[in-house]
Amino acid sequence: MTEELRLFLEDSDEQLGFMEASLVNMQEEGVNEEDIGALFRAMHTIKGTAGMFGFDDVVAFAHIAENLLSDVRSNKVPLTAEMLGLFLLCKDHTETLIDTAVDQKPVSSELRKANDDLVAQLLAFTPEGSKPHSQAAESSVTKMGEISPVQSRTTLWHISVGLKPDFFNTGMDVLSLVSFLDGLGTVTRKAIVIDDIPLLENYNPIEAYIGFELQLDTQSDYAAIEEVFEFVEDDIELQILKVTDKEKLLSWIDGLESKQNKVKFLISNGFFDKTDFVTAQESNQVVIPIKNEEKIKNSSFGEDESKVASKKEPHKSFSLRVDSSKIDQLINQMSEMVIANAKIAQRADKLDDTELSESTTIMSEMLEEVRSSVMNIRMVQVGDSFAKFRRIVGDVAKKLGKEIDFIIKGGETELDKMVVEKISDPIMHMLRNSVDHGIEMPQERKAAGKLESGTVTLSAYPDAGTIVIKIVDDGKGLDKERILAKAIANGTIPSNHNLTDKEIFNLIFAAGLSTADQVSDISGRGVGMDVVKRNIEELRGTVEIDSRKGEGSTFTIRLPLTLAIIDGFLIQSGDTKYIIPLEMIQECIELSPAYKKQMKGNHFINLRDSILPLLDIRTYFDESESKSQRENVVVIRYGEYKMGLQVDELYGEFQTVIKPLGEVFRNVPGISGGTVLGSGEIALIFDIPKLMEYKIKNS
Amino acid sequence: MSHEDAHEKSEIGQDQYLLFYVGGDVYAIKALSTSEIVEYTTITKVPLMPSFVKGVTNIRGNIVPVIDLLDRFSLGQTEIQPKTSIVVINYKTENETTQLGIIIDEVYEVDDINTDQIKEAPAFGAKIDKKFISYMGKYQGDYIAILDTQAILNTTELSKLAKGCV
Repeated sequence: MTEELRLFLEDSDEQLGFMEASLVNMQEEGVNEEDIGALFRAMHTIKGTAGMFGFDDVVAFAHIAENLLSDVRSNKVPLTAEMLGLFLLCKDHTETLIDTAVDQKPVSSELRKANDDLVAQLLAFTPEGSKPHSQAAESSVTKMGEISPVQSRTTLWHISVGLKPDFFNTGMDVLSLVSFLDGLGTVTRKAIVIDDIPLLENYNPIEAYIGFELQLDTQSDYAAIEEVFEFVEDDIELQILKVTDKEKLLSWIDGLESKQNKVKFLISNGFFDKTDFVTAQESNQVVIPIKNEEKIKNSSFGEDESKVASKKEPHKSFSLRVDSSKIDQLINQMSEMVIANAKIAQRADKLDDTELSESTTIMSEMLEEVRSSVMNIRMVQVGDSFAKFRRIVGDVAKKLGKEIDFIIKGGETELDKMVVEKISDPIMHMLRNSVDHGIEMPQERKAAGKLESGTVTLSAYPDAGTIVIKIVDDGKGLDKERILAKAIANGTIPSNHNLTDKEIFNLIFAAGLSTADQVSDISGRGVGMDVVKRNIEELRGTVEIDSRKGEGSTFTIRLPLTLAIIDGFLIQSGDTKYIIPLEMIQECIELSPAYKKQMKGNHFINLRDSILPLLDIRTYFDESESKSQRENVVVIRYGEYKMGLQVDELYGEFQTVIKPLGEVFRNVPGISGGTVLGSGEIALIFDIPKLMEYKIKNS
Repeated sequence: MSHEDAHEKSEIGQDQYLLFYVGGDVYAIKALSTSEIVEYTTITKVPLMPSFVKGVTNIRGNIVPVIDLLDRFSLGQTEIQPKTSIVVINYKTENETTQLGIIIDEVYEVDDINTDQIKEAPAFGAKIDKKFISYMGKYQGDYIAILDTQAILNTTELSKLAKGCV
């Protein structure tokens, strides 16, 4: 995929997101102008950018939707709940069209049919006045992909523009006016009138002498064309007429001073035929309509549409798209500055220069601030992306005839943008599952003594250095027996298993295991949960299930805050420095002789009446004996597990930028990356979950 | 010296070579496959790795694995001297180019070796494993080994843990 196409996809995704957000918002909070505006702008932008890539199907469809939205915006059409639903469908359809176009797939017959249905529905809402060519528009999209949409049932207009001498004083760009016309339709014929240009001795360079004769093929009406020239109407001689409107043509020509010249000019440039200028009285000949076969495809005025669009719709930018590698670069450069500053500080110490060392202290504080701001760039609130689930849940519930209260909590929780994007699909899948399999039908619920409407809660909150995302439903819960039966039947586990509840629930993450009796288009195909788990693990996260029969299920996803930065705690063991994610650390204790005596060869200690298993980093990594006299234990908690890491030295907190160690070190267990310390040295970062998992599995 | 985009030429011969000492012998690598030469700096040991993987170091904010070339040749371990340097080499994996550093005793020269002075490596008899040698090049009357960095830095071999898994 080319860079441009990728950017287009990103941009249209964002626009589609805006659309959905405003639609869903209006469904909940009622119609408001702001959201209508956002909706219109998004559709308009998609139309514009799709046009740049020649995605005619997208443009054609977006155009029709945009027309209706434009009427909504100008209060010609009230926005009803039904229309909100329709626009949501349109949003989805646009997405499909874009995907089809980007993948260069042919438009399937179903898609075409869906397209026609939606167009028909859209047109049904469009008031008569705004759809003079509705039928044409419809027929054109049934043939979509074959002809360009803007040319569907259109009218040929003749536009004559003569610039008045002082036109340039307006500061308007002639070219942009004309190219604007190109946005309305296709300029099929054009000629520049240069008859009025005087001889050089009389020529005044600041005066305008030229004019244009244009033929425009467009769906737009007179008013729309006239509007293009709104700002300069006093500075030009403008004539807009339908090519077929002979009467008007003649009256215009009659009113001109240089009648003969104009007629000659128009005929010689192919705008009109000789017969057009024969008045009705003079002849009863049938006027032969002008054929516009020799269309000018790429008129020289053809500036890209988006440029025109942006002129028409100057909209505020809410965010800035920055390549993430630029942020990485910034962080790298920051690290180098920190190191350079540390060297100055060292020098200042040596010279015993208090002023200088004071400056370096201020400097390092400032650097730290800048660094944390840079790191913050990546963080976004999860609420924005959670909002779109509201609709999916609603849609699925409607389809299944279930009643669902969907609750979102903790939308203000911040997560790395990349994590948010990647976790979106798994969450969507799990929500669908909850609605489809979890929540019972209303009558079932009533019979079980529950409220008829089920509740699905999606919540996010930070916990111990991770972000927890929970999906809770009050449905029927997972059916242990059924899962077991299936798993035994397809050989995932032996029949004489010895599994705990948790392990049984975890079986649903095995590939090819679905407990739904009926495969619906929503879920139940048995693909999915394994993918969900894999996606989450790719983000260095975990997922757990808890479920009670008749009471509901809880899916708990644990994710690292970010892929790039963690608050770490720096320790040393042997010759190597390590980072432990700070929020996983509960406390640090000294491994006193008393503790050692207690251990009696075991690898656990009694910490305030709980048993804490210990892991000696040196022996784990097979390193040399410690030189340090003092041994320390860092107590770590991850989820519900606890353990102590035996280390040599404790250094303290450190803002850690995670960097990959690379392929060479991929087999080292429990190490997830490295980071550059202030001194320029490198410390290795512990992957505590992996470490624990590894330890628990192998014990 | 920096050659960011090291497009390897299909024909050897016209290229410049970086000549350096390792364990008292002179070796050469294509200058184009190197990215820079830095002074020996602190190396952080990564546990469980084979002894020739010395660890990682910080090269302009990036973490770069460092290989002891002498140890990789099974000729002992490099002793760190004032002139000890790290040559950063662009190593191509299937999808990307990563950087790895090799420890050398001292830089000797950067110079051309003519095409007609380049011969196949002998079937046996060289001090180091034949797989590490691309060609032999005649430089100032002596044949020196032109090293195959892709073979020396082969990730599959480097990433093998020293003692299996713990």
